[in-house]
Amino acid sequence: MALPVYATFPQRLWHYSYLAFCAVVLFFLVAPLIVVIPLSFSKSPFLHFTPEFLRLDPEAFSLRWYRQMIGDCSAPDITTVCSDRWKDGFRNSLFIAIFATLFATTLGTLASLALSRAYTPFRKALMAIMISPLIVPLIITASGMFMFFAKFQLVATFTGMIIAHTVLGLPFVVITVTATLISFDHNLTRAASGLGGTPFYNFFKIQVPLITPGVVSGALFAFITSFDEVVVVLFIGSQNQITLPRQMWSGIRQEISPTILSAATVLVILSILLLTTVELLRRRSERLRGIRPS
Amino acid sequence: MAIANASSAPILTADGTPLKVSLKRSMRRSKIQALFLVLPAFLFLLVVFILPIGNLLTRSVDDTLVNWQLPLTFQMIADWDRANIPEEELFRAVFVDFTTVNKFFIESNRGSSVNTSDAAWWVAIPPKGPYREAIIQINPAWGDVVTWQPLKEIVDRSLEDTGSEKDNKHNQRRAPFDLCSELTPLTNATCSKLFRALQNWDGNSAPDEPIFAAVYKDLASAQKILTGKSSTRMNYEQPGWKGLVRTSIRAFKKMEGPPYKEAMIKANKRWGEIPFWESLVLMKDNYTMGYYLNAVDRRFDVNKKIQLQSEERRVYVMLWWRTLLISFLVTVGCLVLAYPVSHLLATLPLRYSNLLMICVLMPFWTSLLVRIVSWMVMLQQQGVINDALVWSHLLSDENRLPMMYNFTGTVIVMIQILLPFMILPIYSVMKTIPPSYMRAAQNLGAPPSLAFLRVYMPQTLPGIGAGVILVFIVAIGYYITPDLVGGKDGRMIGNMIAYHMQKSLNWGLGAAMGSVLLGAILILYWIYDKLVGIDNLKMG
Repeated sequence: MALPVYATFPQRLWHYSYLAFCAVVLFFLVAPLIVVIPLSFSKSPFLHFTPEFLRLDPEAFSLRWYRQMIGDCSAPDITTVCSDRWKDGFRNSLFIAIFATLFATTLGTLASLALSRAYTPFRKALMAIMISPLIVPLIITASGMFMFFAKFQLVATFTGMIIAHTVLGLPFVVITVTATLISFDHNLTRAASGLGGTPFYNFFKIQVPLITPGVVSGALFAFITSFDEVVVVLFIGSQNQITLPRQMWSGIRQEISPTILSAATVLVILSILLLTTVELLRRRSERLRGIRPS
Repeated sequence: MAIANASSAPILTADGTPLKVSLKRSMRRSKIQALFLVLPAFLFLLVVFILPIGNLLTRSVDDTLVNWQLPLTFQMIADWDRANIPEEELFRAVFVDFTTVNKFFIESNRGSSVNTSDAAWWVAIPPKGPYREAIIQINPAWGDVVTWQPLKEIVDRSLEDTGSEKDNKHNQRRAPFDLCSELTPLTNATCSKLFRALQNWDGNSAPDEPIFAAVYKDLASAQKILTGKSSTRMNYEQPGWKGLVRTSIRAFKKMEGPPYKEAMIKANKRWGEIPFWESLVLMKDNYTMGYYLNAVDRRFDVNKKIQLQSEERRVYVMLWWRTLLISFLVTVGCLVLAYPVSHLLATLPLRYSNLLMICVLMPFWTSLLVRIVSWMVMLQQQGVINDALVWSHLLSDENRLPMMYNFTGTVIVMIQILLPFMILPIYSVMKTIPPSYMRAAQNLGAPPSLAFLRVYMPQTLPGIGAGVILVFIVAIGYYITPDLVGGKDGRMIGNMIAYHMQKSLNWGLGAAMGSVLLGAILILYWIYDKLVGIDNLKMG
């Protein structure tokens, strides 16, 4: 991408403005995250940078919003509403996300085993159905589920929430696992059968270890989808199913306090961890299958 | 000779079956096996995703509730001349429809099967009893034990011991609702008196007066709920119905008997106004296209001709246009920002591009709400961007730009949120274009701009198509972002659907808007599938 030595001045100008444009866009992508993290350590109860904060005055920094988030209301400098709601929300989110991930991964992986084979009847149609929860607007999915679940007393229950989030996580599992399986070399299982392995043994000894990275990254996608979901929660959740995003939602709409920023920071860190995991898994999967980075 | 013979004979497998047959058999086995693997996920989606959405869509045309409420009126109004105030007999039908519970007992009680000359409709059940005689007079079937047995079964089932205290309680709490939904179109009415009465009944002897009294009283309260619901529905067709029904119900109680026409018009003069009667004509079918028309600011007139909605009720077309405009601006904005960045990512050496790719994937992975919060911090009046502009003297303190809670805010935030959806497909296509093509074009004498336009760009079109459709599909159904940062003029159709589903409870209209939106998205999804194939959808 380097500019050749013989580049003329307009070419240079063009090239550098192109680079500058890209830098601005990339900054635009990450800027919001850069702003949130420092501000969550601010002492001020408003969502903007105070002059003291910009001068890096140690007085302007505090962990009060984090204390408030974990429900530690004993601190003397707590001025806004303080409760265990954030902690409860985190627990509910975790509970729902773990079960939804389990179900979505199981159903999705089974389906992908078939969807990755060219001979599966109605493959394209089935694939389109499996991915449709990703395409249909959440507001339609949520309204539909709300009315339908109401008939079966699933509204305002954890069961209902887990079912709904399983639906939303399923496409991610199907997409990632199918992609992994399509690049899977079936000669490996053929070779294993030739060497006397039973289909059962071959599946668990040859296929599973090779597709595990794909399954795990699909599961992580499903997890983050559930953990981040707010529309369905707004429709079919009740006071007992307040999740972390739901709590943030009411935080944004009602009392904008920097507690939201501390929760946001925690979520950003969580997603950095997940992103790193997925990337490491992808590399491991490529190494296992002998694909070299080009 | 021998060789020729061998080749024409079918090839056999070890056990003697022809290879073709054997292969076919094993193929069929694999296919069935594959179907069994997809089955759980497919059934799951069918039951908890496709059926609910289908059920939602049927609500957009469903008009059965009001047809339960006014069966006689709707049957008789077909003969009305539509020019003058109706005759006494139509007023009488309205009175009966609003005051009696006979419709719940009569077998053919809706739509064209209603027979107005059937005496059953006009039987008056004495409000203080005895009920048994009157109800059997309406429909003799209610004197038979068989008619009651399914109801008794519901009660018995709810009283069975499931072994869990919580489940038992839950079942018993549900049973009165189930009884009512068996007898009426309502799911939220409770028949608790009937529930208690049926508990005392042995299930074999002829049902006695207390059971009839219970069913009458429960249905009378269900009738009240039905009246409320249908008056809301009637209000959509002609504003004013709700108040009219409310005052009339009170007046009906005092009315002794016919004639009703004068008494009703005296109770509320709207009974003498033609538009109210005309609106009834529009509701007399079990299915209505009214909600769809309403969703695009149209309505039926009395002759079922499509007319524009009155000026002050025209809001939705503007909203549809705004939704399209926002989606279009967001798509174009994403394309303009994504194209150069994708090119950079695709042409940089891998170790740099991997690092920059994190910038692209990072927001993709962070919570939507986190990003919205941070944009609030940046864009608000006292926010980072305005502060920076004021600090650098580009802007005076009084003229801080309003960038949040309006149209601009929605577009900026949505572009940032959807940008990765545009970058990733374009990047993956650009990655496959050998850089030698551009060099070859330039060697052949093309200036860089021409080489780009004629050689490079056409090859990236599949990526552009994929990204554009994907971003547009996602943008058009957005709800959370416009709701939190959109203010008044940044709302989209998704917000209106949510409003009708949760606040105004006009589910028919919400469902009609939803199905129009869903239809548009499915068409785009289909085009996307033809263009790129959904198998090629990749995450990260």
